[in-house]
Amino acid sequence: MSIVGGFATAHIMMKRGSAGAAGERVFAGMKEIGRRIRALSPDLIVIISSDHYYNFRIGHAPRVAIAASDVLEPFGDMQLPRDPLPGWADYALAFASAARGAGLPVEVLTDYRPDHGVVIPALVADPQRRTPILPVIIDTGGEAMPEPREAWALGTVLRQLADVRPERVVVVGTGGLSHWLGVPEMGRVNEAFDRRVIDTLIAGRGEALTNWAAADVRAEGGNGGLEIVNWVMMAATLPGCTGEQVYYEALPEWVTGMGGIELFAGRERVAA
Amino acid sequence: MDHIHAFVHRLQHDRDLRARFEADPASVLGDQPFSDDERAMLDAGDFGALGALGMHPLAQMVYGLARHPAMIEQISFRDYLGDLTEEPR
Repeated sequence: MSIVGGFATAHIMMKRGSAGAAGERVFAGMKEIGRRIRALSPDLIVIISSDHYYNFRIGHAPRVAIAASDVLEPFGDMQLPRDPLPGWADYALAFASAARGAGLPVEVLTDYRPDHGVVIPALVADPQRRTPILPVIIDTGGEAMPEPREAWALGTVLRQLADVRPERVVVVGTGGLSHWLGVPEMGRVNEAFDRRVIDTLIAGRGEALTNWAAADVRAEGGNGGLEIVNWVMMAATLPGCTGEQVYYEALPEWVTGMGGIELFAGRERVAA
Repeated sequence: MDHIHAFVHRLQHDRDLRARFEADPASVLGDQPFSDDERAMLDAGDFGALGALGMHPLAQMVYGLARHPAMIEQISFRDYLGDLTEEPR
């Protein structure tokens, strides 16, 4: 089999009711993404996210980390349950080996504990916690910013691996969209940036985002907006495939633009 | 700044330290190798002070939750969980 579906979604929700109907539309969009994922009957869900410095010390985080564990114990931040999530160590190790073989440095973690960046997407995708997940953690908050082209290269390796294995794999890029955290611009949302990211990806032109430098992404989308590299890696697993927006809301109340998309495996863009 | 980030990291991983900090932050801060200015800004714990201190933005969030535990109610996912478990399989 191969990659049977690609999705991207925000990985945080603020207190229920604090963004009114718009907040509920975001949650409805997340649940719709979950239904679509389950309809694809995946054997594995790869969740690309960021560590919010629960696992790593600032300044000491690997650029990319892969969680190789058969059982993942959540951190429990955001009052999320600590019930274990199933992982897939063998698949993670195979991916890490393939990435290193392609010259991409990745660190393997055997004691990774998912924070909200992984747990919320995991529960949205599979509330019963039955399908194994494979967390891929990109250090989007690091001083040495990850470049979109690096994320694309990593996604390409994941696709090549999935192509030669029998499992049905769904890939979920998480985080974003534009947000500024802990800086004077906190609360700003750049809706134009958010829509450019979404429109580019669902048009099957995700590779065009590799022309952006990380510094440009951060300037346009904020220090938190660099999480779109997680979306770029997902897009690389379905290159040229088109999709649709599932939800989008600019939510200054939640200091971020919240978006979700699906890319359809097998529905390639028709060249103009 | 690395010494402050190391302290923030310990607050996440050392449950005893976290409990003592939440109960009496000034006392715990007094035990750390911080300057008086650092200690004052950490005790204030607002984003403006933490930013002025040079703390990483994400560390500000993590530290803010430890310094002001009631903040958790603003970023809680708890009220969504019931809806998710009722979703069709």
